Amino acid sequence: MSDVQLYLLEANANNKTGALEIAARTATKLQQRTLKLIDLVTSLEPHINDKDNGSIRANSVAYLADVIAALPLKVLSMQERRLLCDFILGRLEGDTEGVGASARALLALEALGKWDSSTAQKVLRTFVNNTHPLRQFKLQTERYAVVQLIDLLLAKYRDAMRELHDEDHEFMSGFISYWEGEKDPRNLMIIFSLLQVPMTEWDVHAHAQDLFDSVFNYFPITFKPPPDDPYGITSQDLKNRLRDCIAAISDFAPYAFPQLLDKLDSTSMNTKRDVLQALQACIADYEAKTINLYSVTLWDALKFEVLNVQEEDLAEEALKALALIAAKFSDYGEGPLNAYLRPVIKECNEHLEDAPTKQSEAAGRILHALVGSAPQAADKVSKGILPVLFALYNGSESITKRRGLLEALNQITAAHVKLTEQHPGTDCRALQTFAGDAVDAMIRALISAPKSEVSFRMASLTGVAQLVSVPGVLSDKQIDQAVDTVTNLVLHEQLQGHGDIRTPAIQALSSMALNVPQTVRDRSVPAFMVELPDVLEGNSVPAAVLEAFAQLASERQIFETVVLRLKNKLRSARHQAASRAYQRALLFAILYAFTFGSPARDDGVIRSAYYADYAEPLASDFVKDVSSETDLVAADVVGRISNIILRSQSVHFQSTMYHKNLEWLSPGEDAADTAKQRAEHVTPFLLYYYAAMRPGVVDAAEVVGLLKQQAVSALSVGNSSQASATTLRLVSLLVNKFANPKTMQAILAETGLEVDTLTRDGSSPQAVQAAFAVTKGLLVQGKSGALTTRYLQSLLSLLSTSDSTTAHHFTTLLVPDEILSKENHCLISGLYKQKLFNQAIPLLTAAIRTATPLQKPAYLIALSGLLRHLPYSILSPSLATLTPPLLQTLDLTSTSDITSPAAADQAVKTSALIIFESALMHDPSLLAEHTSSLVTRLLNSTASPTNGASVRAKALQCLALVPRQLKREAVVPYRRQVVRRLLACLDDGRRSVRGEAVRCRTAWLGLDEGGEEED
Amino acid sequence: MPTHLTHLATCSPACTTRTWLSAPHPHLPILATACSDKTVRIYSLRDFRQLSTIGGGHKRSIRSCAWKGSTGSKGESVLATGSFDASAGIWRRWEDGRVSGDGRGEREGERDFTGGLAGGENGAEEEEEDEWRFAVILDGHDSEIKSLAFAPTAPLLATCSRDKSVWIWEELEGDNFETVAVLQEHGGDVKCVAWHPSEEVLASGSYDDDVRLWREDVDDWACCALLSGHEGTVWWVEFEGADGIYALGSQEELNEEQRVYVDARLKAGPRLISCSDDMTIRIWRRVPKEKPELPAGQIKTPSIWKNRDFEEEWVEEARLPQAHERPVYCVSWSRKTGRVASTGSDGKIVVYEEKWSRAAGVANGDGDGDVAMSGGGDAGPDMEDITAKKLKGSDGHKGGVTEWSVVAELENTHDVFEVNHVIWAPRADKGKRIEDEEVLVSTGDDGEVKIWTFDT
Amino acid sequence: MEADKDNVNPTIINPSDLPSRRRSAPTAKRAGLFDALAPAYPSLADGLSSPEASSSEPSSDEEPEEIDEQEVYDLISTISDPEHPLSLGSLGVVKLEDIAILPPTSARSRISTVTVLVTPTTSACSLTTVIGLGVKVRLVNALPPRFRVDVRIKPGTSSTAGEVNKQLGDKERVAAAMENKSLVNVVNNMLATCE
Repeated sequence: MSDVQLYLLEANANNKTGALEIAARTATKLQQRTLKLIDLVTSLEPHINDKDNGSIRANSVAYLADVIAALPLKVLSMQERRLLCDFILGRLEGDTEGVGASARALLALEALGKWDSSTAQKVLRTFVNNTHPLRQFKLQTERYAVVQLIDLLLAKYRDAMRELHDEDHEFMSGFISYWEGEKDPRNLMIIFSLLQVPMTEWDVHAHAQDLFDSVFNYFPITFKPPPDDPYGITSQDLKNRLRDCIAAISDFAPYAFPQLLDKLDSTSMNTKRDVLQALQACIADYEAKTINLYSVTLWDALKFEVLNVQEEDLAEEALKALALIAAKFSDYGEGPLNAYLRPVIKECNEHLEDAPTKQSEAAGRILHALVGSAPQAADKVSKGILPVLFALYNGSESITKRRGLLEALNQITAAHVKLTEQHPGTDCRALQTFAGDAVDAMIRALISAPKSEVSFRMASLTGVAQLVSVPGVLSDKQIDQAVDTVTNLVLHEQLQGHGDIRTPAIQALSSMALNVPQTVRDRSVPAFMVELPDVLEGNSVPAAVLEAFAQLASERQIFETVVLRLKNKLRSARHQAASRAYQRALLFAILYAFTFGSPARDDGVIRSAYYADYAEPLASDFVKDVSSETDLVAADVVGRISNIILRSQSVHFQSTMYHKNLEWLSPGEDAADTAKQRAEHVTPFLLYYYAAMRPGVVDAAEVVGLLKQQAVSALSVGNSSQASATTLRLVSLLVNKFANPKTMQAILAETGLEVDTLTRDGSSPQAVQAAFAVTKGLLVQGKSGALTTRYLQSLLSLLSTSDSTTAHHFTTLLVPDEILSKENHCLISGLYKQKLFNQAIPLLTAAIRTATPLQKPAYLIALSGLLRHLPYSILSPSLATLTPPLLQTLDLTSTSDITSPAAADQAVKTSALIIFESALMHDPSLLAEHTSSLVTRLLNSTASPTNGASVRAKALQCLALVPRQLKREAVVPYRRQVVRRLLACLDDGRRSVRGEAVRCRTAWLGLDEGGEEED
Repeated sequence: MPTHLTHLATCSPACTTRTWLSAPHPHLPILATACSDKTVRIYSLRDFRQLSTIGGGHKRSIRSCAWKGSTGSKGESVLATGSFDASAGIWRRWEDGRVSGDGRGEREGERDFTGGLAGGENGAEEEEEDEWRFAVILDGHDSEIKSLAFAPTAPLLATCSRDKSVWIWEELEGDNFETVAVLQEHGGDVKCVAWHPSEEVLASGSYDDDVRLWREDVDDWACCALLSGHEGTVWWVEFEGADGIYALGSQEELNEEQRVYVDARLKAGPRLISCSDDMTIRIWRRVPKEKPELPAGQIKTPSIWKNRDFEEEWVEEARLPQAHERPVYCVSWSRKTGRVASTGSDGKIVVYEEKWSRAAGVANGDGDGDVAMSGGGDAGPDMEDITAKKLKGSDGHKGGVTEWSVVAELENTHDVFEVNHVIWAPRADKGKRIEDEEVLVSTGDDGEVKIWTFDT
Repeated sequence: MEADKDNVNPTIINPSDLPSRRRSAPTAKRAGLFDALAPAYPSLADGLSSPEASSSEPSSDEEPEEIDEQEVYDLISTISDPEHPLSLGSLGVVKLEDIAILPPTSARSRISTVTVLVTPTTSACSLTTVIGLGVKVRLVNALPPRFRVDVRIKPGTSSTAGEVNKQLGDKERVAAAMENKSLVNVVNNMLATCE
């Protein structure tokens, strides 16, 4: 049998690969010259002309195509290729069977050698003339091949193709209609892009409408790709290509705009969305002179999307389009821009007349968009609007109206701010002419308008700040007034009874500090100082003033001024023995400035000079004067100030400072009692100081010494809870950062902090706490696993006998402590939480199952204490085992264990509830089987007074998730019971809880019980 | 005042959503409660436990239910239900003595989760439900049915609806109900219907603030009286017992005035009581017509007479002391004691009693008037102004022939919830003290049906 | 669809002019900016003795916060108008001064009454009933049952006030309305914006 016959068999049997092999074999024969092309063609004759079987004819062409495709270059001579080409085209004229294969064959031929333009033209003409319209071929793959072929022609033989069109005016219409009715996205993707060649490169003016319609037929794209679409064509891809076609040439405008605007009235939001984006594309791509013809029409249509917002994003798109039009004209010419803006300005002015309304607000947005579009537009709009706006403003007594107008003005100013950032040196004369009046009016409003007119004054404040930040619109004098006014607000507004205008005022002042730092330095800062005397009678503190002042430090421009003034103020306050409260407040202000402000940085590191200028003097002053009764807060704050400045400094800098400081750091030779007092006094500072130090700075010996000291005070009785808490943190820190893991146990033994010892029977509460502190340090460090595990065991073993007090300590193991952080150069194991979970939780859950009712609470408390600070991701895998005990913790009541204080008890429940909340969010399925007891327990947890407000609220939040997260049929049975029992919560004593109750009840009421067919 | 109302029991399990109305069975110690959960619950008046739930017949709340009177129900209980789904249902059940509460309590307990949703959840339940047969559904009203009532004197059922109409259905053989009248004079929702105890007269109260009376004229039902006066929706109307007059006590040694009054009352027949959104409770009395034996000549003109006979005149005889501070949803007039109980939005239950007023009023005037009246002739006007006088005096104030006074008042009877219905029922539990002892049954928004004893 | 709105361009109240608890609250209670900086003692997080824990209301010392007009306002001002994507508060349909809470009338009674006067955006607003229904439903669902909720149209603001008031005052009609799916959907959409 001849190859072709074999191929036909395989093809018949739908064996693609088999067929290809045969074609390849033929190809090799041709290559080895064992088969002449002419013989191949003659062998085809009988089949390719098969009278009564189309598929045989098609397959024989496919055979030919596959053979050619399998041929390497240079096998076929130029005229052999032409001969084949003519052969294929020739038979297409008589018989369109195997059109796809023919296309493939031609593609293959073209790959073997470029065509001359007449061939290329002949190919296209043959297809357009004989296979028109393409949709007659039902197989997508067939059409696809043709589409590819024509795409190739238009890409590689641009001139030749254009000639076709230039020489024959009939051609175009045939070419356009050739594609009619194509539905397949794969083909359309290519057609949309190939059509852009004639659209953009040929003179298609005469055919513009047909050409446009041929693509616009597909608008809007509603295609949804099948879930497992192998070609990964999204409807967005199609939308984009189609949009490019629509926007391709200005000639489309007469057809595009009317039809698009017509579709803009669609009720489908998606259609409107597509229309607006298409419009934007057209506006951007069509020529300005074309847009000029439609600008007003477009305005008339687009404005409604803003004036009567249906969907916020649609309004945004419409505004973009409007701005694009203005931008288009800005460098095109006065006339069109005026023509466009005239009606806009007219209408906006009309809306402003009855401000404040929905539509005056909309007008404001429109103005904002247009002003922001380009300097020229900004100028014209301002010229057109501002006179009217101010006439209205001065003509009206109504504060509400004035507020509405100011808001519009602010839109314009805001746009100017944006504009001047994008185009520095933009001339804002139009705004400038009115800026004076504006700022005066607004300052007047801020000073003299009734304080109850919140929005009016807010609008004025925003306006003032914005005008100051548009360069050059205000005179220095006006700026001074503006700054003074805002400063006054910040300093003298009484907050009683009306809206909190101070916060925005402070922000306004900061923004002014950015734009006009000198003015703020010269005028605001002194004003602040006046409000901050050196001494105040009594304990009164101008907290508000201090807070505001500290916030100014957020502006780099005046940071230095702020902190310097604060420091001096503190010093003189000290000298004149001002109240401790005042001194504290000043310390807080400095701390705030350094923490949230913008201190100077040298390549990212806070400037080391601050240490000598601020931290050191504060610290030494403080540490030295032991005389004054201890002030833990001050110690803490000073410590943190030093910490912030010190911790990112180099080892060198740190150790220099450290050894310099040692003389006042290290305890003097005082009597025991003063030593104890001194320790209390200094420890909070030391905590932060050592937290700042890099490990290398302190050597081993010193560490042991330090630990010893802390051990002593940690184990001593009668410290205030704060004092001992601080000591314990310091212990954890030292263990974690400075103690050498290799010699850890030795060090602990030497310093009397060996956990096994600390947890021996009958050990004091202090000892137990210390044990937890040490274990925490080790745990977080993760370096000495074995030791940690052992210590953990002994801590857990305490539970069997202990009351809930010990149990509550377990929280401290995981509670986040800012001291133990990478910034403080601590050793933080990435996995310590996971480790702890794996070690402790199984033991606890097991213990809970077997525990006596008396022991149980302790275990439950410990469990929830640990879980409280674990990321949900860690515990979710074990949720199944955790759920039962967690449900039990909700039953804990203070009465279940008298020794456990209510607050702690609440904390236990809260943590359980928080876990249920996450569980309901992330894996409700796991809770499904517990629905009944969960619902009951949550309901019980909403009862007062056994549960605190926060527990009740949290319980309600969880309960609200149940109907949303669990399967409907699973929860419907509880609906009525819950809805009913929640009635009580609606009357809860706490407003916040009532709020949650309302939300929760709404969620349950929303649960459709079903069963009703509708009328 | 010392309250004479004592909480006896609460039917259990309670419904988890609003309950609208409870109707005691004409002769069995059971209660049917219309619930917004689309069911009717049957409670025992012996132990106040739920006996069964009737459900599955209606798509929306059951607003009202009514028992067919003992007469003609031959050993079978018949219950009609009216629902917001605009249809009325007829249910039947053989009286096999198994209806008394035989402690099915625990099992009921399980049920209250599903709020007794249609079709019980276990086999035993099924069979229990099965005993109530859904016989027929009456469609016709355009919107919610608010109330319905079986006539005591004829096989008639009246239904009323938000569609402003009252329908009268006649029960034929084999569960066929034929519409005999659709009465549409009301200008608003018809809230309630009630039958006259001895005549084929139907009363209806409406959202249009009016009460109307309906009667068959030749073979057409029509409105025979319009009782206007209320200044808000009329929520409930009810007739006095056939011999309510004797509640006033012995007919011996009555003074002239009282005898005249009794006489007038006997002529007038049972009175009608109505309560309203305007917070008042009013008692209406028919103005009787003299039937002068006509001279032969005049019989030629019957039409006029017929007309005169057909149209009735009712007057507001008394207004009960104002005890409610929110709309009054229901009043119940004891057939046995003549006492009236009322309840409403303020959650109160109030009991009133009618007595001969101690102070005998200006009797003579009435006496004369009465004589004049018996003198025959055109009596209408005189009768009116007599009644008018009585009316003046008789709303609980000094000087009337009778006066109404509050004898018991109790707040928060259903916690803080509104009470939708109250009704007198014969006492049937072990605690029963005397023959004919009555209890009050109240039905509330809290889904509870509560039983109260009343002591004098 | 814009056209058949009763009032296409209503006046809008600026959010910051709407009454809110934050504003009416005495500033004494306001948290200081530096509070965040006050020393924290995480190792006391076991809540045994830490100041922050003890301050976290041991449920006993809760002084009750009574339900007041502002709270009622907050419940209904966020309901959205059926024809504008705006809240009843910002449209001035519900106003704080038009909300009244009447205490129980007698020592023995526990029933309080909430009266809300609704101001339609136009006197001919065909949706007045629906709005009133929305307010009524919201309050009946969100207030404890000891409150009776009376929703009425503010005198002189609606041509149909009488009819609407009577309907809203009729518990039977309201109950029935709430069993009508299509009405329920309308109301739910209005209430969807109440968080």
